Amino acid sequence: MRNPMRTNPLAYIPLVLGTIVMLFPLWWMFIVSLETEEKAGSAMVSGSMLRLMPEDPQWNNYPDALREVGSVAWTGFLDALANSIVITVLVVIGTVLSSSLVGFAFARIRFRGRRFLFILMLSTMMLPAQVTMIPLFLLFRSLGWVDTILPLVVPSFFGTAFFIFMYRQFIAQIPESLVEAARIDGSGMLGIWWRIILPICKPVSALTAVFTFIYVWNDFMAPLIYLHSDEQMTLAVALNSFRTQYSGVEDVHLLMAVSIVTMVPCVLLFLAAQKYFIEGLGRGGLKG
Amino acid sequence: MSRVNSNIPGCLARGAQWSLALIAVVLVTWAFARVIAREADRLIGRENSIELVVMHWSGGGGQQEDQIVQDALDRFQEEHPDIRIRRINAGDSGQYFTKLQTMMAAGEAPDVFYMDYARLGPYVKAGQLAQMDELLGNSIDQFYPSTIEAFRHDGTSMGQGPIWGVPKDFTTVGFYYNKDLLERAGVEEPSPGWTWNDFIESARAVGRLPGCTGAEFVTWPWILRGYLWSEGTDLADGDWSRLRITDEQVIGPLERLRSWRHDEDGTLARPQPGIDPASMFLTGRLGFAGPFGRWIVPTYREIPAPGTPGGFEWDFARLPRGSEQANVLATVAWSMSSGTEHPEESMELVRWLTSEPMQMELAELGLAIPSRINAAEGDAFIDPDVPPYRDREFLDTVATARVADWPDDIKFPDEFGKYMNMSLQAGGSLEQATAGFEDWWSARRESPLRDQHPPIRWGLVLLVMIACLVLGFLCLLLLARKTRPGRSERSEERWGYLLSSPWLIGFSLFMLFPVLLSLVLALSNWNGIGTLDTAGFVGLGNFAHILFHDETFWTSLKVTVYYVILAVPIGQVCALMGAVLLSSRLPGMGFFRAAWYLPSVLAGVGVSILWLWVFRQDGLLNTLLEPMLGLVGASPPDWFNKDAATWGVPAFALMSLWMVGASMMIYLAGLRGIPTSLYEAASIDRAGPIRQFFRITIPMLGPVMLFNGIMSIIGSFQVFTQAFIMTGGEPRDLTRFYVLNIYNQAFDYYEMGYASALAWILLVMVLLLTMLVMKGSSKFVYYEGLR
Repeated sequence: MRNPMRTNPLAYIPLVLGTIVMLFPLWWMFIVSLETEEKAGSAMVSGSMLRLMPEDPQWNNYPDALREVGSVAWTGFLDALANSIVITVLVVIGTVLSSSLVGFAFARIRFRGRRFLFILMLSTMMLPAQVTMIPLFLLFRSLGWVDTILPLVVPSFFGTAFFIFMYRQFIAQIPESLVEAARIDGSGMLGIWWRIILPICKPVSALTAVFTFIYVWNDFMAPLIYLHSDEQMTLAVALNSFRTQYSGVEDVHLLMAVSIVTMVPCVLLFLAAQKYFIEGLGRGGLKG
Repeated sequence: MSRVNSNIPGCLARGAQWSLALIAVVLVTWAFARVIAREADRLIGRENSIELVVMHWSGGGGQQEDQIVQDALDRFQEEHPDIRIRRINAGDSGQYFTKLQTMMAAGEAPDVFYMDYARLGPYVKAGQLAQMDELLGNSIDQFYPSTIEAFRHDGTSMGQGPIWGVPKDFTTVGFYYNKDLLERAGVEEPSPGWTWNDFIESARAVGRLPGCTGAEFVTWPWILRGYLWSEGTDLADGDWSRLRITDEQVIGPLERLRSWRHDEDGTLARPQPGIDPASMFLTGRLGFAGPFGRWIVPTYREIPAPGTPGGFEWDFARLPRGSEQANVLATVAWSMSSGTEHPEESMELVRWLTSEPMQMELAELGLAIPSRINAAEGDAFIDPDVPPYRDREFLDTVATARVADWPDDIKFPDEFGKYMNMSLQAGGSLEQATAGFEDWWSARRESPLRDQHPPIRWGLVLLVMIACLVLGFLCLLLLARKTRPGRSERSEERWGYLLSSPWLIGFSLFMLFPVLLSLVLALSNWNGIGTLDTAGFVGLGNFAHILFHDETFWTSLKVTVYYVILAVPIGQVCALMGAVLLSSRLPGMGFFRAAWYLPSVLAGVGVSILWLWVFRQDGLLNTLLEPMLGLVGASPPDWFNKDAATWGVPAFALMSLWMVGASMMIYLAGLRGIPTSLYEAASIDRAGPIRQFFRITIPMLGPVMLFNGIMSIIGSFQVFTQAFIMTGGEPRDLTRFYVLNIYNQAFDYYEMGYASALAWILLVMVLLLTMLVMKGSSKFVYYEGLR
């Protein structure tokens, strides 16, 4: 018995109820995305929004909607997709490497000022992005980085406070004996980080990757500010522009279709990584 | 070790995983190839040619309008092979000005861009626009005079001084009407001389039809001006020295408007947050929609022909007359940056874009009325074969139309609209609303922030900053010297600094420097449009104004604190309970875990749109609640509208529960890290499950709970995207979250200094709260292995 609910089949009742609450809105969104224009529009005003299954699904809502993304048919969507992928992949790599390294330093290496720096770092998390937005823009502009992906990607290689904190909390719980053993073996700190900490932290890294992916994929303030050209836009910005152009009740189905397409990569990545990180948690050193 | 439960057979799952991975690799490769190829292209193409940057937004015309602009630019480039043009489309007009402002602040203004007459003032004052008088020259007579007047500005008021943009199009306003409904209701089509009485009688007749509403009457500030003009009155004296808003002549028409909407049923539509009011017309159950301009025509032309499903006949009628015939005019121009490196080429381009052929093409789209008289009066615009058939209604009112000018304060129209809507839209007392607005305006006019202030000396600021940094570093060094580490400790210390250096460098560059700069900005009245040199030093003026004169600040603070109090504790309890449930050792857990986390993965624009429709009065949630609440004789709340005062913030909290998955997963990971031996030992001691939960699970989760709690508090203080997309702070600021307010101040009103001060207040508040939590928790949070 590890915890109270462990094997009690009654747990299925709240589990199933919760699942309905979690999934039904999404299912409903999917149904709306397949409606005809007339039905989507009338559903919004007559209150007949509750449907359990799509009747007469209009699959071509999807190509119809995606064609309208951006200012050039199809190119707008494909450009946005490519940009989002490139930016997201680079930021994920940068965040995992730098944050685990710094988190390790904060958790396991004793140096003067560590506590001060750590609290300083925590406080940066509370800083609303709005405070630094304009000064940062001035900075990146003076570096000549505006309208390139650099302002979106480069900062991630310097660590992200949120994930440094997360790595630090997890690394702090690794039994001292594991690290001590490596230290006695004569490994340098970089070696310990690469050979011991990173593998143990795989579940955290998976979480970091998923969180970062979600955040970067959905972020629209930063790309909106730093990227100017149409061809540089990310999918989130494209969706947002689409939203403002198709805000009428008659466009609900198209709006839902584009929204769903932008969500699919997040869903797939999560489903793939979910299995991985739970296995990782079982295998990893967290159990002590 | 627990076996991973999955309801999919192993090999199938593995196959799916492999194909997913394959697709991912292919997609990533494709994306990198596409982006790299494009960037290489751009680098090569950049050599030696003049590059002009053109920025515009796409209105109701969508991709069609984009295409026309692009075609014009392409043809311009064909005739001028030495010029390359980069076109930027910034989305809708709201985002457009945010972007224009940011680019100007950075000295990267586009060369040629759209300019809205209503936004002209601040840009002229900041010296960002080039004069267009010379370009227009004699051709000035070919434009409708009132469109030209709209772009005259002498730095303090509209309508006089130089011309700052060449009008590209304009519109007058009126009502679009559903012919079929009017016929069914037995009312005549509006005549050119129709009055407000005719209008409301027709609307009432339509409202009596089953399931129908008489009219959508938007109360945007500039539309209200037109409405007042039609009754021969206005909200202030000509030079804005005295508001006349509490006068009998002004109150009368406004009170009539309020009464139409709120004292009658079915005559005027009640507002629906997040839904474009114009789109209600498309449902075919609305008699009149307006007062709108020409911009809505492309949307309405998609209404199916009468006789087909969802189709009906529609047309347009000018603004009804009251005691006078009046109309209000909106117009957009092509303007040029004063800082452009290629003034001649830019000038040539503006001439090209506002030429007659170009205007003809836009006219055919039906989106806009050409500002050139010849183009507007020609066949391209007046097309009797497609609705609206009465195109002349737009043109015949030009003579009596003018643009709505505003005082030299960009907040004025918005605040006016906000106070008016407390009554006109929400149904509150009009006397209260007008009195509130008068108070706001007098406080605003007497604010010392509007006086002249000495400019900030940036050289000195830089010097002080560097001095502080050096001093701080010296202090740290001195402190460090007090404790002399041993030799092995010194080597460890070097590793510590080396490994944390990425963050240290990143922090100095991307945090410390911008934060210090923003601190200086918080002491300034920088308007964000001009360069930094235009910033004046106001000391603590911003903070004083925020604390003592800013009602919006206190409202937004209340809203945010209420949200934090609701969302954080409930969210954390739910997350922990969920994690405990999900850690059950039962078949199918993999599925439940995925399902419960899924919503959090999707957080963004799409989810906000979804929830807006969940919370609508007749939305998904209320459809489900109605039968249940009906049993006890209650009805579900109108979340973001009538009942927003009580239910607006809880709605956001409820929505946040749906996305609590991130916290839940972290708890789940924490639960799995608790050694089984502890529970085994407890079982031997005969501790029951509840006892085990409180004695083992909770204490062992200490660090994770602290982490989650703090992150949740911080996140809750920074709610932005949901509020921005779902309500935009409406109604009556009841959902104006703190960060949304900062955004509004900075990017809607250009008050960068003021917004920086707001951001700093938020920073201090959150910092204090977090320290409080950390301090309170240090007694009972237990870290294993942390030295």
